[in-house]
Amino acid sequence: MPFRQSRPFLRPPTQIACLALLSFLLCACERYPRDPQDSLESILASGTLEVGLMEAPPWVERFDSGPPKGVEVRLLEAFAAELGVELRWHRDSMENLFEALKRQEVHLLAGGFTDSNPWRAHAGFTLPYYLTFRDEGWRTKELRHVMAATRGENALIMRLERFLLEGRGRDIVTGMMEEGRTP
Amino acid sequence: MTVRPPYELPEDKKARLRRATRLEWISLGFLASIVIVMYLAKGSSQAMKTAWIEDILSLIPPIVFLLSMRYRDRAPNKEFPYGYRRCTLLAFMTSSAAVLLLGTYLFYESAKALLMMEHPTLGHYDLFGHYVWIGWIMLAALAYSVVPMVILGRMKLKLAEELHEKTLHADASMNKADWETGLAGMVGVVGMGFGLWWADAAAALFISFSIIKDGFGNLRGAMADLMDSRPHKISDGKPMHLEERLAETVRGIPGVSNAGARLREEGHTISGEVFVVLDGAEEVARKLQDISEQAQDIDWRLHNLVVTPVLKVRED
Repeated sequence: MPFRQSRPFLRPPTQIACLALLSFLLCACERYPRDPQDSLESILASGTLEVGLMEAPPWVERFDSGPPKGVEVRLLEAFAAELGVELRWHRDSMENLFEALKRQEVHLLAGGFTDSNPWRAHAGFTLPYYLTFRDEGWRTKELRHVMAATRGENALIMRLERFLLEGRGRDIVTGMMEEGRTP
Repeated sequence: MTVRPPYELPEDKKARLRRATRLEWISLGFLASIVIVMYLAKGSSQAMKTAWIEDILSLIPPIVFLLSMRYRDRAPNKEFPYGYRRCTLLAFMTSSAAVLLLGTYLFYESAKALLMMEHPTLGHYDLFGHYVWIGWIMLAALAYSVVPMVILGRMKLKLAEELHEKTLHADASMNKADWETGLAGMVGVVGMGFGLWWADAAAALFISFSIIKDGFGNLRGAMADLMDSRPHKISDGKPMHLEERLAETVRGIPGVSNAGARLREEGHTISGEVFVVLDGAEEVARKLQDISEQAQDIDWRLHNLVVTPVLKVRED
């Protein structure tokens, strides 16, 4: 064959796919990733953060008639303040709260959870934000503390993670835990 | 006992085979690193998990190929008078069946994730103390899993056609088609970032479908070869028509009035029988037919024995 047309670097379907991907990425900078069910947006719009609490001292102290106390309670208060929203607490059993979380009746759960919590498949856990250690005789178990949101509500989870890992949350938790260790 | 003489590749093919072996070692190295990277990046995404398992499965063809390199050229012996060439096919068939089975399972898992409306959680990723969205990590891992394999796939495909090496060909075409998987995974991840929870399961479905396709295609090819199908071209899967060419050539030899042939593929070689009608040799032919019939009476399972006159009987 005297003349052979050179083949394009990428075939048309690939070109289209690449373009689509590129344009996706370009407009993705703002508000990305998003929540599939708009948790963060609805919290900001309604001005209330609904949080489920379970007793787990020192993270969530024993419930009395008064307002809740504990390390995670303090963390969530600071988080709500950062978002500029009101907090509403819900105290219930583990099962009821995880079901409520699935139905998005509460946005977040706190109760001294670790990332090996048996309910982890039913919730979206944050990255571990604090480590404690438990002596189990033959080994020391690392307890990686997390909080729970509705599965897949990635914008809310990431906002909370930023607060816990890089923001004011980190100072609060280290401050309170160090204080507790040296009486 | 008379065993088959060993086969030796032509020199130019030997060089290509060495190159193919080297490429397969490189592929294995890349794949091992890809499997680790994908494992670290897969998070709770079904699409990433499926793509990760596909990467693990793509370890099988290079391993089968490299293992078969050790066995296929073993000289035929008393236990295996026809040699070891088919060991590759056998290994390849069983691994294809495993791929098909696993693909079906992943299809089920992805379909379930879609039906149960599972929302994958994609938060931050702890990258040496820097917190970044895990989606970006996933996209990088997917890109890393595609680029080297597509390049290697293209290089291997050419060699596979020249060497007529089916395992290599299946491996190369799987690698070459890898970009579809990678792109599907990327679209899934980007879609999830936009809050489309189903993008993950849909991408996983697509990937599992490509695994099933690979498994089924390879299984069918390996089964046909083990069943002594006639030689086919590796590039398009059409019959080579080598039998007709063979018969025609033999017919052209002086003293041959008619000829026919039947052939089968045995791994990388082709073997079979050529039947000829020789001028003025009716007596010999009749004698051979007679011998064949008498020989078959020895055992009820003897069937279609080919008796060949030789100058000297090889004894091993």
